[in-house]
Amino acid sequence: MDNLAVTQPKPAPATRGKRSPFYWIGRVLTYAILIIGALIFIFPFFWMISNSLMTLGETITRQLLPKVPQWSNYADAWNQAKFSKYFLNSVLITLGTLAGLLFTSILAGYAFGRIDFKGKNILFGLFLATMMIPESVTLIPNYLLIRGSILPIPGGTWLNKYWSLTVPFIANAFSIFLLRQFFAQIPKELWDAARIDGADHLRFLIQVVLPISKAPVMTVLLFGFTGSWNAFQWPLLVTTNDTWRPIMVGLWSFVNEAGPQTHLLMAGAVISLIPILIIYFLTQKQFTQGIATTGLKG
Amino acid sequence: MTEATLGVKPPKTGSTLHTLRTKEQITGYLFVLPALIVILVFGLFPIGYSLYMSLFNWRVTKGAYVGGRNYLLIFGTWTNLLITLAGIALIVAAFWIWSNAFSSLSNRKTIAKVVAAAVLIVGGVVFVTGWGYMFESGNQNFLKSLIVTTYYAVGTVPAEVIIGMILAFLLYQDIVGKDIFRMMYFLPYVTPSVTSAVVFQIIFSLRETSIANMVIGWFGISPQRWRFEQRPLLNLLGVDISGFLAGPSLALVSIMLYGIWSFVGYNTVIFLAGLGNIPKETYEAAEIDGATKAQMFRHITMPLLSPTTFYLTLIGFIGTFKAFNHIYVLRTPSAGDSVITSSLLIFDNFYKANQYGVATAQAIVLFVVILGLTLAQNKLMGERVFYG
Amino acid sequence: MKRKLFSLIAIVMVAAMVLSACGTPATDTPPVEEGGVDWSTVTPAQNITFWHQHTGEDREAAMEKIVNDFNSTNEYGITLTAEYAGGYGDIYTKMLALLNTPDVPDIVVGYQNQIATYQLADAFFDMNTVINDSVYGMPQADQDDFIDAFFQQDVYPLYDNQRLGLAPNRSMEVMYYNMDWLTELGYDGPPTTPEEFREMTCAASANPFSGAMAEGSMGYQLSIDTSRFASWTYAFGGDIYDGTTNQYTLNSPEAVAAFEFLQDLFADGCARLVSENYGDQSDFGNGTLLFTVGSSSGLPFYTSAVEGGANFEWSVAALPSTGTPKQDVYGASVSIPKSTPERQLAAWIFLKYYTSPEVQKLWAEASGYFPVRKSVADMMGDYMAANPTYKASWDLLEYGWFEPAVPGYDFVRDEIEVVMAAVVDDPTLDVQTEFDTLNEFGNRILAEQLEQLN
Repeated sequence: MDNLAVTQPKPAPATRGKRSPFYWIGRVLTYAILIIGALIFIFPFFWMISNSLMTLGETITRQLLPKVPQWSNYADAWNQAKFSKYFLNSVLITLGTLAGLLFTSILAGYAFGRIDFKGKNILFGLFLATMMIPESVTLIPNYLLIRGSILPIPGGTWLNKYWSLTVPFIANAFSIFLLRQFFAQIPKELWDAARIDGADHLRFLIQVVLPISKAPVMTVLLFGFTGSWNAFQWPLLVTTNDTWRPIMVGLWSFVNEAGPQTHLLMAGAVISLIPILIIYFLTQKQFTQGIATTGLKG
Repeated sequence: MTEATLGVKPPKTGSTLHTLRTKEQITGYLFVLPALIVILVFGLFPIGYSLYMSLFNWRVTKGAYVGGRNYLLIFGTWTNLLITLAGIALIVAAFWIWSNAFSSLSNRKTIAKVVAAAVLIVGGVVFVTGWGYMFESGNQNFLKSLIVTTYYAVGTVPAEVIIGMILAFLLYQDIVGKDIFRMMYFLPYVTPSVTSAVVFQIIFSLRETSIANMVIGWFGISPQRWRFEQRPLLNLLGVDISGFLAGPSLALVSIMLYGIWSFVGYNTVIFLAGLGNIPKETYEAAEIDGATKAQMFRHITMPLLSPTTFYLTLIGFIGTFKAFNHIYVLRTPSAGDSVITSSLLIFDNFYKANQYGVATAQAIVLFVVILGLTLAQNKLMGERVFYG
Repeated sequence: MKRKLFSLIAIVMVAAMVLSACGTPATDTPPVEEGGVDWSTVTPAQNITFWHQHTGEDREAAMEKIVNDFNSTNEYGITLTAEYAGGYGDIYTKMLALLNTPDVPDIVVGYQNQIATYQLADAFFDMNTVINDSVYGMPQADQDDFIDAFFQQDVYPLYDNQRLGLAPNRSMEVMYYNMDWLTELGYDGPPTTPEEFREMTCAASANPFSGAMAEGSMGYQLSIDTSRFASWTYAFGGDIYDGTTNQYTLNSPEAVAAFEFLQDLFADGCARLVSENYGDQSDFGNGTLLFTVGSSSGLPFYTSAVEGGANFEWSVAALPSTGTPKQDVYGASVSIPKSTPERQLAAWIFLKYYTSPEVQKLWAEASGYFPVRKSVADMMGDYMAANPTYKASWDLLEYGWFEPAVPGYDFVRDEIEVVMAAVVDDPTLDVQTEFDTLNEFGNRILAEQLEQLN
């Protein structure tokens, strides 16, 4: 089965003669919008980095820039918040959740997008319905679930254990929905051609669909990673000791009742952002290639 | 080759066809099974349990069974609810009449449209009457919170989708440094709200020197109280209406801006994925045929992006109805109940007033509202989605 | 299709409902009954846990030392593990789900109104059953050493005067003032009456501090917090709750007077609202704000703010009052959820240790809280000399008063804050009318909560 994902070479520049002034105005306007927009979007981020390099006094008196960058804040935040342990916890939790998430979402997204089975729409609606209930009321029933109060679960209780932080999140309707939208767009001709070659759905999925679905799959990966990494409410509830506490909960300890240690909190937040940015770069690389399904049309 | 193009298998004997169909069905179920188990347990069970809790006089401890009483507290009387639902039903009927009109003859079509409009108006009146009754005798706080939530949803989702689409389109072109731009637009989404909330508190603070006040100062507008301002935005702009049509308060608008800032990046990334899915040669073919950029955008990009747009709009609405964090961190007592969305109210009822029964009943009602809106959206938008 | 969708959802929900009905609900029956335990026959449990909310290097180090010392010196072989379990609100959420189950911690911090809510489910241990025990009790001399107001704060009239907690630390609402600025304005000390306060705040709003590091000048910033409501009402000689009738008194003449006073200050531009979290701290540090009112536990932050800012002489004082000062004192206590007699006894033994004088000294000096025993103050002479603002606050403790310890208080607090905010900003609002409505609301919520007791 040929791999049909082919990147088309860019078309030769159109020989249209001189570019119209509208073209340049358009370009200038585009850049202007993008730059102004970017400034608005990253201003809080800039504030975060600036504050992470200040002394406590400077953060309290709201200076814009530190007099002397306090690089030691990063080391302090790392040590005080026991970041090395929490960082490792977050990595393990996120990887486990991601693996499960990709597995369930790809399969289910494919089924909903391309297979016709009875009750498909009802089931999909049910999945979506689970997203429609406010979190504040789902916290306690789920908490009771993982404590083993409702049904007996393997291991007695999952409080303070790895499973409570991963299993509830290895499937979610948004990822399934997203993949469904993309998988449904794949031309029927590809599937027919595959069927003639004797492939079943699973082979088609693995050999044809996934290679040309890098963009949506990477998107699910990126947002799944972000969601798991930045999770706060639930991990706070189900961890009462250090064993599996993730990074976001660790950050919380910088917020005191009498006043936040803003400089350390921001340093910690910057540290915690770095893995997300790394994953972002890795996944976004996959986006920039255009995808074509040529060879069939025309 | 012909069979494949037609997408139809040649007719086989009944049993083989049946077996193939069954095999396909089983494959479908098997693929869905892993997700189904997890979602059933951790997604549907809480809904069921909340429903269970809502039927009791449940404070911190489980009290007596009270059936629908917690729900009645929201509506006032069951009649009020019936009237309101009747109003909604009439509005739905109006749409149904409208959309099914073109099956008739041309002048019947006009009559059908007139009838539909009439039904719509009657439905609207009935709905508003029912709502008014509920407001009088039911739980005003919850009903008001539904209105606030609607303002929030309508104020953020379209903006997020449109800005996201424009940004994605711009960033898909050949721009110098587009990778850096893309990352900058994505940053707000991943910044923990612990930090971005603090910054937005400062931006929207009521000091004369706050950033928001500086910016509007450039346009000659006097300093505002932003997240502390309970008055509707329209009133501040000089339009003198009150009630529902007056719209969201300035405080709520500040929170909306924070919400939009956070989520545009999410939409942009997904739109970029969608744009990446459009085959380049489709554009090339159109260019050869002499289409302009605008025409290509309208006739190629938008339809092929429609599954993505549909997805983002749908989950955008669901998300805003559930939205909690951004509103929680920016609310002030001065803004009063103009920023209390339903999810916030439910949280307060649950964890501060410890009224588990009442809070879960409100959550179930909210759930039904979201469900209804999603189905409506599905109907309105879903049919215009073009799956290439 | 729609109908099918609805009906399927309904079926699933009913099924889940039935399923959950079969499971154990959130509150099991208590595993042990109370009363009449002969403590001499009980062996303390060997491993117990303590949930707290303390963060920050100093406090964490002090807590570690206290726990290690306890573990190595106690004669019963008890090993305590102290865990940071989130902020007060987070701990509250966790506890609500765990009440009356074996997964509760053995000791937990909590505000009195939180404990009052927990006790609606009869989930906490009454220390009166062990405090006077011949073997494990606390000697009367020790009991008397506690500052009376703190000691009584954990006795709950609502629950037949059960003792549901012990105070390991306390803090108090104080007024922070910029002494250098006062001198510039021509005053030689902080205000002691509301009239003086008014004079000084209006003078400050008109005359910026010479050493200010930022633009602007303001006399007072009010932060919208129920503890401010309480403080100002106390300062005008009133109270927000009547312990004998068990009713809120949010509309008392004193509360109304206090807020009419503040309303006037706002209208005259001498006071305004705090505009972002801890905004008053930063403005104070920058020298653009003359007075703030806040918790004494904020002293270290104010110190950093002033040092990092305009660096001036400052101190704390009682709020200006119409009569004898009455200061709002608060703090979380440590309480023991119900479990087994062995665990409860071990927890009690730690509590005695935690509130013993040497430990109190260590804890107070590291945390910035006040100790709760009179003898400890004498031991802290050096620390007090080195931290005059701490001493200034400590001296005010004789005027201590406290907020009500009733269930549902958090909810009422929210409404108090909304009304407070509305009243000070809008001079056309009639304070009495607004507070009357507020008081009705508070008492209604209280009645609803107390229904559960019957």
